[in-house]
Amino acid sequence: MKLKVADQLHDVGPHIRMNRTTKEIMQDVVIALIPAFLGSIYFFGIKALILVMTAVTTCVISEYIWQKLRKEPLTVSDWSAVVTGILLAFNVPATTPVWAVMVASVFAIIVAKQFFGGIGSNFANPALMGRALLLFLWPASISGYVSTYHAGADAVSSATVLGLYKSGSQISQFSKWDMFIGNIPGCIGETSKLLLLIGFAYLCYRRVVNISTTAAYILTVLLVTFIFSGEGLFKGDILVNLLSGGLILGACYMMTDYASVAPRVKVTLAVIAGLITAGIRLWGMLPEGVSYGILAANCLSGLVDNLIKPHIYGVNVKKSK
Amino acid sequence: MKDNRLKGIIALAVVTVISFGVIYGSKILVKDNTTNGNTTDNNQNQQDLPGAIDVSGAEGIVSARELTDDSGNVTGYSVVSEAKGFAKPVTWEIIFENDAKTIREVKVVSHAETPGYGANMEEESYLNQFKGIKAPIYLKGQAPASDAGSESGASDTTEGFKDGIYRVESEEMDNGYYYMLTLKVENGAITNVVFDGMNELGEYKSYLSSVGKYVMTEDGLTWKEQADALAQYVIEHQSVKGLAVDENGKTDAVAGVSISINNFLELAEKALEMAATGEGAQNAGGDNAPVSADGEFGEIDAISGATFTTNAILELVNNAYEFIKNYAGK
Repeated sequence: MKLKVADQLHDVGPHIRMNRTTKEIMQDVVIALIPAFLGSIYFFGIKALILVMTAVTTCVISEYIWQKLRKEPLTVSDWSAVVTGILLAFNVPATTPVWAVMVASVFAIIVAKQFFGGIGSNFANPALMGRALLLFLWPASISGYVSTYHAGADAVSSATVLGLYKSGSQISQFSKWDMFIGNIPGCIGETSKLLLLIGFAYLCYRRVVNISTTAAYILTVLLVTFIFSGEGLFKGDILVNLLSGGLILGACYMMTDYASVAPRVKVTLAVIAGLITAGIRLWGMLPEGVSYGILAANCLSGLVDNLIKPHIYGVNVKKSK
Repeated sequence: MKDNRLKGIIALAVVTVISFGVIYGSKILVKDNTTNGNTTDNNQNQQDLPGAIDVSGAEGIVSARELTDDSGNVTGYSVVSEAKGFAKPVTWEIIFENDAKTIREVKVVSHAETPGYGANMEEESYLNQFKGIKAPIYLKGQAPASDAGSESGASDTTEGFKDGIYRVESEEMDNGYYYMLTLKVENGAITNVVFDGMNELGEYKSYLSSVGKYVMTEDGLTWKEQADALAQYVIEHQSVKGLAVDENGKTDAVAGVSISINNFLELAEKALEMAATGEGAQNAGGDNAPVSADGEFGEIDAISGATFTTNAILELVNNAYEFIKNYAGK
């Protein structure tokens, strides 16, 4: 089927350009992630530093080699590969083997990003695709969660708070304060909500992200889990669901990508992601669900884009009788 | 725009520094908060509740209290008990009925066991098997006869070894693995030997080899099969004396075994020495597990692939039972 020229023009974005460049936006995201990055090293030791550096380096080199081989314009300098590397490393526990992070990084950049046209054209978040690959192929490689304040060989395997909560076990050994500051087992970049939120505040200040998407995603997850996750309706623990997993990391840094620009579409996708995340947490096999929730919403973005047509400026929606 | 970014970065840096100060300060303020196996809060909570029972001097008992109804009648007992798991203490709350024997419910308070192995203790189906059974508890099929066993766990026999279960583990890691050996003696004879290794990630060598993640040779026996063959040798010969090794730690005494058996030999010899004297013996209910005076006891399933965790659970539940039985005078 041949597309008309007008359709092609309609389908290929961006149509509106801001003064701000991709490079500036990505640099801002990297800056915003620095507090959580420092926190990951503080809580999980040198292994966190190694994983982040490995992921970033592999992502950048993968993108460079791919574009060189394909004789495409080099976009390494736009920092998007750096962001992907950091977020990918943030989504794995400290015990993850370095080789696994390298494989996931190559997959994220080449398969999830470049196969679909590079930045702005990828259908799903590359970092989460990399994590999904590890979960699918080598689940044991990213299931070794460890307690905090341990480094290297001293690391002690531990269940996550969400895992304990889901199984009905006591989680009183983890205070809400510990969950907030990050002193709990989990992926290296997701545990400190305090540091993630500081970075998110910077992004809001810089107007890099729209808080409505983040809010819609978080509120949806909290609402559904509050209703269904307790013993009886409306008895779920909101703070545990908010602070114990990767909800803040996903909502602030991965739900807010630029795949779709229409605000209503973004919020709708955030609600969908929230419903799927909550569904997985409540009734799925996994205790988490953020990555699959966001990836599922990513996959539905084209459909939602088509369903929610933006109002065309200058055209009356309601016809007068 | 640039100025706006600079201001943002400065604010971000300042707030980040303050946040780290708060995080570090909270670490200092909260003692023993370096692992998730911390039970201090739980202990404190129990001690603050009505009906708290003094647990000072009771080994392995973190806290305990009486459960009462509105009229003040004792309806049961709650005991928080802990025992050493694979790496860190495993802590459970065991709730007994007011007969101080029937388990009403158990809850996992904390642990640092390996996901997929010892951490499976959190599964509802595993915890549910404790509901309604009577303490002391044993693994299924391993409850001693009513006249067997003693308080030390070892019983005299007419044979060379004393009955009981003997557990030994390597003190240092060797090529990325800790090794452990469990030897069971019944009626004076070795009836079961389990030899295994565990890596830093908590993965058992037997499991890794059985699923093809730890491959010895393409066509030879897997590591687990070789470990089982070595164990079988000990059961058949009741000794390790025939296991001569070369300079590489390898032996020709067992068909198909090509692994270095130094770790196995070291642990087996240690376990055999213990079995000869009865030192360090456990009965099937864990360390110093009580023998049911009235012949009533409960049986549970082991956690697959998690011997240490299973033993810890047996120990902490039976310790809780002993404590509350003595307290209630029943």
